[in-house]
Amino acid sequence: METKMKKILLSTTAICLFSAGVAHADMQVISAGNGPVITVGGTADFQVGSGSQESLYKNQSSSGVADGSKTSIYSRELHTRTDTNIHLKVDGRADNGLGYGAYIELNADTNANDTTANNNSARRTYIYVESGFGRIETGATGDAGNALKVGAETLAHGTGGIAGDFYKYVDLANGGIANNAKYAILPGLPTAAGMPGEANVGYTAGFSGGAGTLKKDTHDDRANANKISYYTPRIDGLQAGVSFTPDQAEHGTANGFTSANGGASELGGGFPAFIDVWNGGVNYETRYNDIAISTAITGEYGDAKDSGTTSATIDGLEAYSFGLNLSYAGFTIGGSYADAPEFGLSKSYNSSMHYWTLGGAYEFGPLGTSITYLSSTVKHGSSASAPDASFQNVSFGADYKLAPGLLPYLEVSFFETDSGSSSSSTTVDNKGTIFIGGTQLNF
Amino acid sequence: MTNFAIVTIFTDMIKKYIPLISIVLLMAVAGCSAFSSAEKKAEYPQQPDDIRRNRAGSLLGSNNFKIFSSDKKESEPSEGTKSKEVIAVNAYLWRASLDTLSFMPLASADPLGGVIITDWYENPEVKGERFKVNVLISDKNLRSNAVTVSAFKQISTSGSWRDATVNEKVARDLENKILTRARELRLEKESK
Repeated sequence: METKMKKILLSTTAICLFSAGVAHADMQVISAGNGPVITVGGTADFQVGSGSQESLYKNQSSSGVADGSKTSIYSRELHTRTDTNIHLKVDGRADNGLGYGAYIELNADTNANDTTANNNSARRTYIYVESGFGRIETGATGDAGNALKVGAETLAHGTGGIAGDFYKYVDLANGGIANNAKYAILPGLPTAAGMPGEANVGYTAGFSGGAGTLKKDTHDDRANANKISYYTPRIDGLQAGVSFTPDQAEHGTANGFTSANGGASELGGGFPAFIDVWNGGVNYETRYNDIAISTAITGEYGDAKDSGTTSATIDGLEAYSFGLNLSYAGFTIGGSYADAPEFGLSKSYNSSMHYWTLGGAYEFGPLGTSITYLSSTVKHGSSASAPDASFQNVSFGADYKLAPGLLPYLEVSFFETDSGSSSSSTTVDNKGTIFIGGTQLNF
Repeated sequence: MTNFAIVTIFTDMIKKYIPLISIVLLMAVAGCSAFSSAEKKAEYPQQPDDIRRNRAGSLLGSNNFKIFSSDKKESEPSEGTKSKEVIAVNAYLWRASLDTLSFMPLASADPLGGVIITDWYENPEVKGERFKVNVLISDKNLRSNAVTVSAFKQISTSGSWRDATVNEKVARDLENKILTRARELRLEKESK
């Protein structure tokens, strides 16, 4: 019955989305004065990064073995990367006020760091319809919670501070070395930020991590899975949104359709995809005596795929976050706290994750600077093969708007992991410094 | 576990009514848009990647690179107009008229009305007669009938200027020169 209802939902949504516009077209012809406008734009970002870390991780093999072979990508400290996207925006407004359009974001780098595990050339594609009563987005794009969230990560400059690109230059998956330790290295609910241990997993690695030969953002597939989202207008400072993702493994058409049982390692890198995921949030903005206040509560909930066996052994998805930012005279301070009682590990592990962030930023004309801090802990029950693991990162970032669309930036991050290993724990923990410099061009 | 059970029950209830809720939301968005035409366009949240990208601004400034627009209100007011110029008539004809009549002093030039009125001009090599020209540009498109030139002539007689008949060919020649120059300007721009 539920399956049949879900089929009705999705097919009905697709029909209604277009019939909404058609119905009004019958009543009023869309005049040439309000027809669609197609805009082309994009971003080109060139970055140089250098990451220092413990020699155990620097000298590991490409399969994540601490053998000193230096065949992993971490044997060199200096790397360059580009992130280039082209986007097409279609925007129209009917005479009756109905707004409609689409957004198509194409990856120009289709064989490097920022692609999905399947080298998708389209990163985000969605259609939207909006009116005074809200906005609906359907397609492959981020979720409502990620758009509405507030915290230190939302005020950072540079590449994004604690939510930036630091993790691409050092080994923070390192499960193979540190007894399958899983770190939550990015702020955000697991769908957007990745499961502990997921972000930046090597392409050839399994669930236990590994250095691999290519760096893939497998959580990007999950974050931009096909979904339906609804946002309310902002009324008296309050705005809410909700997203429904039927299957986190279905992203555009490149991934194709997936089965009822993706198993515990459906996404590239060996992480589960959840189904029937609800994600949402409430955001409130106001101003009091020249102090701008922004706060948000977000959450998400989803089920593990059901094979008759995996659903009995794999946790679903459950996470919540709260954030608050205050701004005055160019200064902004803020922070957030999140808790994830379930994130797709074995039920027997009884795992949970929580993190908190704190940060500050200052903007003066074209210059922006920030300092942000993240502390996260992943806890497991006694039956887990992985120990409790904690991660800390403090990031200093700065950017300067040199010209319209031209933004050079610098960032330095200091990180430290604690794998929780009891014996020889100091040899499996990692810490280091990451320097990043680059320039972003928007057009 | 208590919280988990509550969330599970709530989620199960929501799932049962997903189709109905979704349809109602969609109908509300579309059906009530008729009441929103006079409302200010609402702002909706962006993904963090877009926010970071937008902080850098755009190389094109506020002028996005439109590859198609059927919105005449948003399109350029006349052919050949630069983005910030306020010219309500064909810009090529306007510039061509000013170029062609640059040897004469201007009395007035109205780019919105498309009217150029010169002052009296006496050729230093031909004393005793002077000319005045009015140019009217009446279309946003570069067309041969979009420019009309009227020429006036005066002859000096006993120290005073008296109106005289001007050959029609003078006005037609000026029109042709303006049109030719306008086409040259358009070709120059299109070849860039």
